[in-house]
Amino acid sequence: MAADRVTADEDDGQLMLRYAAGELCAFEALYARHRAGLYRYLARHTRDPEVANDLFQEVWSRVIAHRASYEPRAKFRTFLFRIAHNCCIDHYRRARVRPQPPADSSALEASETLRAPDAERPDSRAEHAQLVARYREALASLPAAQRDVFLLYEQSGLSLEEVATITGVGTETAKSRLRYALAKLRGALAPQAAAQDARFALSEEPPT
Amino acid sequence: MSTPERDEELEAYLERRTQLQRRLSELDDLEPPAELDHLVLARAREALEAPQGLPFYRGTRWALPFTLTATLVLTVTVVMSLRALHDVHTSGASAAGAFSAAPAAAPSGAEAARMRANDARERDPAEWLAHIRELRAAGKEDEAQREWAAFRAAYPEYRDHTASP
Repeated sequence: MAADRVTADEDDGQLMLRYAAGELCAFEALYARHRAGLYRYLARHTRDPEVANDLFQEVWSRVIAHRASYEPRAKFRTFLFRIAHNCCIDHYRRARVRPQPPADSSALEASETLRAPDAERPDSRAEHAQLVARYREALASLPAAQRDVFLLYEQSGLSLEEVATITGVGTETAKSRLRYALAKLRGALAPQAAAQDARFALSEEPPT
Repeated sequence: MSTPERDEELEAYLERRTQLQRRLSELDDLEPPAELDHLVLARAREALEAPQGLPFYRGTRWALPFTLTATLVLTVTVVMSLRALHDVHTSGASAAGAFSAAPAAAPSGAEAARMRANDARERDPAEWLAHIRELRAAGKEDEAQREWAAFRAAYPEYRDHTASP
């Protein structure tokens, strides 16, 4: 994914304009920046790897298709995650289902590799795997609106105001949803955190 | 349900100062499969290589004013045609009115004679001559003379082999 003529600090919007002008390397740089966050948003939102893969392609296809009409009025992240959010909404409408926790999330879990540091002992890897499982379970159990706000905020890097705009709610509503989501995630992770020397506690980092 | 403690935690989270923030990113390192990367990048490349077709929405940029202009021209044409047709009917009606009113008003002498001749030609000449003889026999000479003149105008070549009326 080489982007020889792209500097690291080049603005996303500028890259999009360069891609629209015919520079593939600009798109490659743009894609490299946002591929992981976008994929996590879609995968955690839908909890179905097949659907996430389809929506991932659909989102990027729309980005590609809109390259000529793209205007950098807002952040590219906002543009990208707005498309992703709308794709999820369209998916749920097509499927005529409300996003509910799946009865069996093993499909997604099986498609992922739990990456604990190789140097760690087997018991540490097991603890890490257990923590990951608890996190995913807690995330999947969130109401769709709370999960949407949390994932958008977490994976897009946008501000809470921008997340509120994308989801079509007021900032206070988005903030409330995020607060509830964090409380539930914290509750899911707290026991494990206590068992692991309080490393995952919701406390501020000590000053360094 | 928010408590001051939770609000503080939320604010801390929003400011990206908490350990949870860091731990969450460590917990979720999911990435798209390599096949997806290849698919998306190939699509981006193909889009640049493909000839730029004319998207439908661009067509509407000129189609809208074109449609409006065509509609306007068509409307004006139809209105003008209808108006011309109306004028023809109006003038035709007035002319017909004039023709129908003329006999009732005052037909010219030549026209009256022509009309009388036409009427006269529809009468049987032998009966007409017999009628003239009856008028003369009854002493109505003037009327008989008018009828005779009319008869001659209608049948100038007629020869009565019996006798002159």
